[in-house]
Amino acid sequence: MSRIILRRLMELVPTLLILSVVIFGLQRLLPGDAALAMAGEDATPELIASLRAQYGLDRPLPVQYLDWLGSVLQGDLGRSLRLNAPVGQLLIDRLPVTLQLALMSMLFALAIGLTTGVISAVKRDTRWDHAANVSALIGISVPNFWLGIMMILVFSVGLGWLPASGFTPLSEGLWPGLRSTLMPAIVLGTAIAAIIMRHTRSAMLQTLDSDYVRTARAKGLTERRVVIRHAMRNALTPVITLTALEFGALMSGAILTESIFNLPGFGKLIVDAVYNRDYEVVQGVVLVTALIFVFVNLLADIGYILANPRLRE
Amino acid sequence: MMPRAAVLPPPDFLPEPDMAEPLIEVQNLAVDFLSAEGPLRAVDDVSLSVERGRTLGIVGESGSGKSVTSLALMGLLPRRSARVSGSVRLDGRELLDLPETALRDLRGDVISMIFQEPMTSLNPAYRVGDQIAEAVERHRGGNAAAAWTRAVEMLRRVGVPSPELRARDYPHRLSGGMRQRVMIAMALACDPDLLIADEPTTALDVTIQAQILHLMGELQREAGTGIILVSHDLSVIAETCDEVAVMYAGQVVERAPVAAIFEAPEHPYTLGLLGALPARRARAGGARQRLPVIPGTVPQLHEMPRGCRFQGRCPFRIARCAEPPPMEPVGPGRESRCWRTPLEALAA
Amino acid sequence: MSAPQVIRAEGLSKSFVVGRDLLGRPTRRVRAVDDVSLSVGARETLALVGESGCGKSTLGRMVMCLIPPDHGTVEMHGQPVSHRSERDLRQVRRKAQLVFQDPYSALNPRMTAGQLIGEPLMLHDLVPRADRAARVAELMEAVGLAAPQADRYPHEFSGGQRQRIVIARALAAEPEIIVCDEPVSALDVSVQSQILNLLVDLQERLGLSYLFISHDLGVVQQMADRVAVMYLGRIVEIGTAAEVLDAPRHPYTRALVASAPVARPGKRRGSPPVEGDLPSPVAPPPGCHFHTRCPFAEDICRREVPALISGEAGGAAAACHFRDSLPPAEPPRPAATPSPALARLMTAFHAGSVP
Repeated sequence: MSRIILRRLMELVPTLLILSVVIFGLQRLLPGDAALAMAGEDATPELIASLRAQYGLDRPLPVQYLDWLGSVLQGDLGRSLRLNAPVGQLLIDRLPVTLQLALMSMLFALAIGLTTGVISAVKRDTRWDHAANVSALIGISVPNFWLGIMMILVFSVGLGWLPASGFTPLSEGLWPGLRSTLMPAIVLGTAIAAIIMRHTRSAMLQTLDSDYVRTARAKGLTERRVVIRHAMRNALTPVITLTALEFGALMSGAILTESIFNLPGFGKLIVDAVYNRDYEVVQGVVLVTALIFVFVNLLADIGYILANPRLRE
Repeated sequence: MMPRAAVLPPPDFLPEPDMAEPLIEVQNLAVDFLSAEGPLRAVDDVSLSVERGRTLGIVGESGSGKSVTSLALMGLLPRRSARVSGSVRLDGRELLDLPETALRDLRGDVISMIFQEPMTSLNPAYRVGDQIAEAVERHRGGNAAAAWTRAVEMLRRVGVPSPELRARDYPHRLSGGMRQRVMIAMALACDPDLLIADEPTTALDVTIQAQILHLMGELQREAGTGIILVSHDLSVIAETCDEVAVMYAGQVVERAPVAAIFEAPEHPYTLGLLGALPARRARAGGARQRLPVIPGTVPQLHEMPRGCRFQGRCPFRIARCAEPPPMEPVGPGRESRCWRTPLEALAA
Repeated sequence: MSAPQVIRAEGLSKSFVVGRDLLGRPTRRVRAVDDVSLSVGARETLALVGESGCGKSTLGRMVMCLIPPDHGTVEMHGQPVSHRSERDLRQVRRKAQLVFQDPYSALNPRMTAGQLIGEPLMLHDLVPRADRAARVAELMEAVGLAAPQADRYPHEFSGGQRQRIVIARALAAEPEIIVCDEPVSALDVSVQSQILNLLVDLQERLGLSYLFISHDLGVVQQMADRVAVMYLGRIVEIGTAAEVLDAPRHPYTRALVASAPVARPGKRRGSPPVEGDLPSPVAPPPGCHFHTRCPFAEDICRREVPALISGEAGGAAAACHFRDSLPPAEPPRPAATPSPALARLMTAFHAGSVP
């Protein structure tokens, strides 16, 4: 087993290298550069050229890339020219917000998706199943922003239960902290819950029809034990992988959700940075987000190996 | 005067339950599957019985209803989509009237089943020892250690080498033959009275098939288990069974002791099957002989003819075959569903 | 000198990688086929018999150049086939066609029977476009399908009919040899005999050769002129059907023949003909692969690979060190012979006559 995990880790090296090239490259392919943005609209070509020289933007791209990669590896993600602050610090300030939002919405999506998925498979073709399927379809189709606005109207404006916007750090109390991201987490997690539900349902239907579940029933086990011990155990392992992949969708969905609820997370940071051509910040956000995604998928792969006796050896 | 005669009870009351009553007696079993076009009868008017220590073979081609019949006896057909009617008496107890919970107590304990696909019939996520022990714990109670010991003992009994080690293996580590041995160990762990084996060797290689069939025979002799062996293979049936029921299109068309089936079949379908068996055949003058065939194919469930279901493929068909023939005795211990019995008269 | 064989394979070997190390270098290999030679003559059926994992399917595909061998050569009509020559390969792949076990997955479900059968005509440009429909109809009738069924899709046919489509499609390429890989094992007994008869008919009418891969000795007995028995990648015995099946020499062939159930009523007692499982093909036993299960095995069997040669008395070639000293094999148990009355009845049934 450790061999497989070790091999999986080794495969990470090329993945990360390619990732860094892509992130660096995409930036340089965009029209205009940091020097133009800094110099302003009326700048003379001489000013722009001197800015370029100052920031090393006139050197060949491979040199710039290696330079950048070297600093990144030392933990230096550069400085935001616009906010005049180290990018690393900006990211550390915003990370807790986005991380809390992502984890809460994933938990929400898993709780709802797994339970409804299992129930609707076990109660196949009943009213429960149909209701779950219709809800899932709605969950996938409803746009985030509309759901967000509706929830704000109902729970903040109407009932006044939850704050409409802003972030309270967990350090100021557990409940106020959680409360501030509860609604955004639900908005963000709804579509993913629906996707997880549909995959869980079909995986469960497949295992419930499998030969080994029939064997379990032939042993005289109760239906409850058959479902939980024999069917779910095998149906839920592929859902691990799916969940990790959905984490990517979740990170990009966070951008929109954070703007709706005015949360000071990665989403807001990157939107502002793109508008201002604040390249170092954009690069930093994309890099960290991609790293999180790669890391989550690595965990999922390891989880999958652990849950699968065939791969464990 | 005959005073002593009055002391003896009439023979009907002699305490010989094993001899007098079959272990399982199935009467007029029918299975309907609910479909969008209304119910489809997959099994119709099936009557069978098996005595302790004996083996009944159910032989038939795909779509004959033999697997559905065995699942119906186990109560394993989905209750929502399948309606089972008729009577299944196990040791005098009517199974079809039992609630699901009571049936569950019997499954894996009094009546067990092994299946065709040893590769997929074991749960890939658990060690085989645990899967056997699970059945023991379910029906015998006791602690996990005792159940594990029993599982290892069962593995030894079914001829798995180094059973202590193999019990800790996951199914994917074992060959098909070993997995089928594990399935047999699981099925027999609680000493069932009746074992239903649905094509137990079809997926196995021929040398392994011989081992498994031999093993089943040995275990049956030790424990006196009644066996229902479902198979498409007449040769396997010939070598393992005492009685045979031939199924065609959802019905039993002939029931007889095994020797009688092969010596003097009393249903044209049985006759056709015997003829179509590829076997050692003399080759006259180098030319290869053609195999006899049964023309046509099995009718689909929704287009079943009203009369005899074999009439479309039967060369012995007469006008009367348009009426459904009943299952009727045609000799000692045998029945056939054909208007033209005894068939021997046709060859004269 | 006799006419060249339709197909001759010399010293074919093939191994597959089943384990790799951290850098992706192969660490474990399965020798699926290990130094195998065989040939099939015109109008001849060579059956390849063996249990799962013995390499018979791999060998069949190598013989028809669908997969390249690691070692060894294939000749067609005495002409060596080069795996580097696109022309050679095209030629072999037209003249050698494959019919395999599962007619359900062998046919593209989105093509009609007519399109499926007509495809090889187009691929190999065998028949002018205008005549293709007529040729398809001819092929369908040759395999016992009605020409109007050409517009139907595979799911509208039964398993036996689908296997007929597969056969018609193979015939469309005008092959000289058909590799039949378990062509009837997915079919019911009554349909199986129809397909076997069809194959025999076609062989006689078109002069085809067959490499017939099967695990079913009854079917092999019905079809084969010669039989090759494989065990763990090697041929252990090869000879005429009568030699191999009626008087098997190699202990494995004996076990195989004795294990096959026979339609003769009466419970079989006594221990099974061979104990134990097939050894892992990843690490096959040294020497004779069968020595771990062989009742006659001695030291030499663990050390030396026996040659595949005929014994002093001639007959089938057997890869066994003791081919000349083994006790004679028990004669295979015959199936029950029908009584005269039953035989008459069967004849009446299969003649379709109504007494």
